[in-house]
Amino acid sequence: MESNILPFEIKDCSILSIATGKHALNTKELFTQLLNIDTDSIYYHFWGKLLRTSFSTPEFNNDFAQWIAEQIHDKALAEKLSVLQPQDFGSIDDLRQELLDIIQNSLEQNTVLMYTNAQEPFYFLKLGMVVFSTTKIVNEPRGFLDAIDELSYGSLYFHFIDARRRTPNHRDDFSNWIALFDGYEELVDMIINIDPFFLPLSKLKEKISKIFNMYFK
Amino acid sequence: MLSELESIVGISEIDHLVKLSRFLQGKKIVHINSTKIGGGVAELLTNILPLKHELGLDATWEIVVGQSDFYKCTKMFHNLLQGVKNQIVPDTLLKVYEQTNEENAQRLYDLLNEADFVFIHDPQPAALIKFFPNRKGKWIWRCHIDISRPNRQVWKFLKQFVIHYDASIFSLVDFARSLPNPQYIIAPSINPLSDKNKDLNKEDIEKVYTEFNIDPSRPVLLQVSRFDRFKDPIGVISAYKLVKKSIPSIQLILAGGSADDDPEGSIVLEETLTAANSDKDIHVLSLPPDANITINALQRAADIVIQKSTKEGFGLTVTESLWKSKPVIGGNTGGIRLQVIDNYNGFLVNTPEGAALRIKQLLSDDDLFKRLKRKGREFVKDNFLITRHVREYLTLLVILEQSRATVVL
Repeated sequence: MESNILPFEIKDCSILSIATGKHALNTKELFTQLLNIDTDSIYYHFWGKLLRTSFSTPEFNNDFAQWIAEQIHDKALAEKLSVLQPQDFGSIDDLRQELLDIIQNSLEQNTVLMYTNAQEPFYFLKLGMVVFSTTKIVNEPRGFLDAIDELSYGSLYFHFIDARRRTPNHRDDFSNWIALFDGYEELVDMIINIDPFFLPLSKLKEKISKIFNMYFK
Repeated sequence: MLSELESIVGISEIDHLVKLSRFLQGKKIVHINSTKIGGGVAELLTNILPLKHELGLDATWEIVVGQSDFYKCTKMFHNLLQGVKNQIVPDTLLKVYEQTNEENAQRLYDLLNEADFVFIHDPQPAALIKFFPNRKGKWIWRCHIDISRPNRQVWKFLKQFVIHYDASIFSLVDFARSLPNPQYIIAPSINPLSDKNKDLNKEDIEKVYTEFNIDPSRPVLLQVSRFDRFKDPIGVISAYKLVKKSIPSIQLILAGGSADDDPEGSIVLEETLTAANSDKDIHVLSLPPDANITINALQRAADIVIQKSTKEGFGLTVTESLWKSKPVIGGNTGGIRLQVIDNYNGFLVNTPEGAALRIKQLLSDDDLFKRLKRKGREFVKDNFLITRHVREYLTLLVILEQSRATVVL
């Protein structure tokens, strides 16, 4: 079986932010916009932060929670939104429903905050992406030992983050490909257990590299 | 140029440019704006075109030309779109605007009608599209100014042209308007290898002290900007005067030039000189458009750089100064907010009083001063260099060519 496994082709990507033209000035408006906003925009506001440079680790790990905390000053709602992780949901629409439930619940309990206006609106954005081949390939799992260190952040984003919305099992491309080989269950588990949601890409790369080094050396 | 840039940004960023440009070989790309000399847009295009050429792309740059009424009209557009109130553009000027665009359309017809991609920069040439009903390529309106709260009359007038573009680009999401075409967010950039930003030797820097009679032993504040009311040179002088009360040794340089498409520059320069009131420590320098090395040296000679704009599309002088490891005190507006992070690489201020407070704070707290200096260059490297800018332009062109938001090549 293993001889039939195609090599892993490393791809890279270049991304762009696209305005959706939609924005919210308060929690009620955020709720209303979330009812119909493009799923690509929800995806962007959960994962897009990884591709933006920031000086410090934001207090909350998605744009909705960060805006609620900074602009609406509703820390309780921000904490509830912050705990959501896209990979825990079957689809972005499921994630949308959870976002809506949490916000609606908060609006019902705290009507004063419903119309507290932000100084800076929440602008809904989405991602434009061009994916291209790097011509680099990995023929067997051990090949990642060197390949990971040479990965650009675009490649890392594409294979480790974006893969979660492309693959049927919502997992990264590395573990899915290695799982095709017999005898690498432990390595696959180690990769699956990396939670990319709290790490900038630089640290994520270090962490993945460390796992391959630990496993093969 | 590519190999020199690679030594700054790394091979991966250059590799992206090479790969993306492969898919655009043979495509004709044309940029149009209203001046080749002076102002941020001309500077950006001066930097971007050679890089595109080195990537093997067929890119050219043309300008629209007009008579004084055309520039008077477009300056009014500029002011009104950025929030000046209580003015109306007379119909006669709007007619001149359309007529000038029509004349330029006739002059540039073959080039633009056959181009694969046309970038139209800012409002001045925005109406060109009306005269190309059978255009072959994709047209992109690139708005460099802050139109977050535009005058309704002017925006309504311009919108009739802008809606026909295939895409629009804004520097900040805050500036994006409700339009039927996709709106991309792409921040401008600087070229670290240009005369304005390249490393200078000590002698080049010291030369400006002598040339402009500046005392190197005393603190120097600098604002580099066109003489434009939105840049608030008078507000900078007010801040300087407040600082002067407690730090009498302070010196201020207001350095700027003019742009061919800005008829108000000389008036604002006069207003600035009047406000300076012959203070020997205020140096108002009207520099020629090619004084790039002088500006570079002034930015390196300054202790603190100010960009106290009240409206600012982006503010390339902020990027330039951060690249030279200078703390920046910037107006809390537009693109400056994207670059100056409070208490990290500078301070954002809303008033001359706020600027004065931060100048005094920086000049009296050495540790704070050193800390803010350190962060600016790295931030620019990660976010605002020409390689990121061109990569995003090329990404946009591939996306437009394929008519999909996600393209797999």
